[in-house]
Amino acid sequence: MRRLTRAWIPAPLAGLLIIFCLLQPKSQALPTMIRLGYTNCSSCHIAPQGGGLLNLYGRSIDQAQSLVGGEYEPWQSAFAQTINWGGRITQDFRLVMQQQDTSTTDKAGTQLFRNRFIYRNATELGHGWRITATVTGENASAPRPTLSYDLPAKPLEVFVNTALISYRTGHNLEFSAGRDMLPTGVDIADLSVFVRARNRLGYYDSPTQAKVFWWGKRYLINPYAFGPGGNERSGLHESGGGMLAEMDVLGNHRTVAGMNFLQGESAGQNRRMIGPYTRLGFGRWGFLAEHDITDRTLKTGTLTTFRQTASYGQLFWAAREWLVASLIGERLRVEAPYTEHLNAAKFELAARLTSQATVSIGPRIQWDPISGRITRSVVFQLAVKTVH
Amino acid sequence: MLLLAAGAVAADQTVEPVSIEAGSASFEAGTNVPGIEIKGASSNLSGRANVSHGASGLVIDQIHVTLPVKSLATGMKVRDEHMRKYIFTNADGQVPDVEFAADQVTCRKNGGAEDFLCQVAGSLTIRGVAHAFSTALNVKEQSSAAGATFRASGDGVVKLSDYGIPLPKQFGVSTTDEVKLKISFVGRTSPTQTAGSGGAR
Repeated sequence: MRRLTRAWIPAPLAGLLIIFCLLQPKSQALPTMIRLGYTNCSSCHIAPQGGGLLNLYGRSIDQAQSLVGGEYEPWQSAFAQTINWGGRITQDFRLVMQQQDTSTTDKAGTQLFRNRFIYRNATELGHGWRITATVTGENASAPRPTLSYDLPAKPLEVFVNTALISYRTGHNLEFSAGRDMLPTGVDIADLSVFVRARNRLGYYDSPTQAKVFWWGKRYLINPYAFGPGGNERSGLHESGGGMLAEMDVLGNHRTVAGMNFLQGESAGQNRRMIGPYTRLGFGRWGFLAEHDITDRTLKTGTLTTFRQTASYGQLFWAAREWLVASLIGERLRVEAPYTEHLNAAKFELAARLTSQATVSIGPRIQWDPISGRITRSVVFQLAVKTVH
Repeated sequence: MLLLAAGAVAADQTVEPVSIEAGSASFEAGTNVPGIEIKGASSNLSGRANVSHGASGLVIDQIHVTLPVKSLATGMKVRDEHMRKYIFTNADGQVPDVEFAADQVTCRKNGGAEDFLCQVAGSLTIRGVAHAFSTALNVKEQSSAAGATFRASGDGVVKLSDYGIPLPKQFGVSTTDEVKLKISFVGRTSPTQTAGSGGAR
């Protein structure tokens, strides 16, 4: 830490970091770990879906992959044993501070400073049973885009993202029920990308669901059924089911390809999505891609059926273990009568300074070939978490 | 005729020293957790051997190959440190290079006239402990005015228990006893040597 603050961090930021290091990480989902041969999330995360709290091994990797580096040492004090119920509770607090500046052709620029405070808890009840909860409080909401054919779920200042009860049998089979984000292909942490924001995978989309994860050295099979989360807009309380399946194609732990199928029905519309995806890793660099094809049928008035395709590609390079640069390309096409064409490109630089603190900066440009409108934005994010 | 034939055999058996530089070696170790596999690699494999052509194929003897432990990398600094500490450090705290030695290997032709399959059996030394090790090596010979080049690749399995190495364990994740090895390298005769012997072949 001493070396870090001296060499890299300006004094005010160093002060902030020290405060949060005294607390002791969202370990956000890191699909880029495929570059080191981590084919699925269960290696490092408590929940096999990924994101969320890290297991002990994951915390050691998190530490090892930071600028400070070194060995992870679990918090072993009597106080820690008490609040962690003798090691049965894994919990953390996480603060995500995000500054986003946006300018669009012929429109006034906007600035948004958004803070999210997140508490996460995973409690082992014994005999394979576990409860998991994530609660988020925020100063400014960030719902999905309001579309004439799909309204975003209602944002809440205090939101229960996850409330699950899970049962794990053996090393590689888990059943879960409760509320959570639905399984996705490439588990991209940025929920504003087209493949997520246009497929009901925003910050406030936590349907009630039951799901199964069954994984092995070369495969993951994840069927799921879901119902409304309660905060959907009128007519959009969706129920349905799906299946995500992936495999390590070449068996070298670096070439994962998968497919996500989803079918959902609500009073207002039906949707059917098929999303092939891949995660490829080659040591220092890798490639993530997802292409989601969604057919929607609006049931209000005359039946209207149209197709939406959302594509995502990310080429990443780990300049250092703790410093990952990415070039991201996105594409969205929506058919008539809701015709929309959008293309976007983003550069992202993410630095994991310590296991507690990650900073990232991401300039993005989006252009609409139909209107000619260009939107430029830049997001600076500091995420800190407690580690114990 | 007999004299001519004898002369030809003698010429074929010209022994040429071959040096290996910047060869690559990689390993894969499974773990008890699905989804985690430890892989590492080095491109610092070096060595030497003597090569001659016999009646049934290629003859390689006095093989000695070395791999500096510090050149092996897994892509994660901490994991590299663990690997060196738990696998390659001996009781005296020393980290000796990995070495392989074999006396003589006869390689039979494998398809093409310049393709050979070598059943190499020798001794692999890890952290100072020597143990028998064998591998099937595919060798392709290419001759040119500058000398002969031997492109070789092979794989094998090492058991950590054969070397008295306890299975490394980190927060519930432990490696398997068997570690898969792959090597590939290019061996070259020295140009000066080849100048004299090239014509004989």
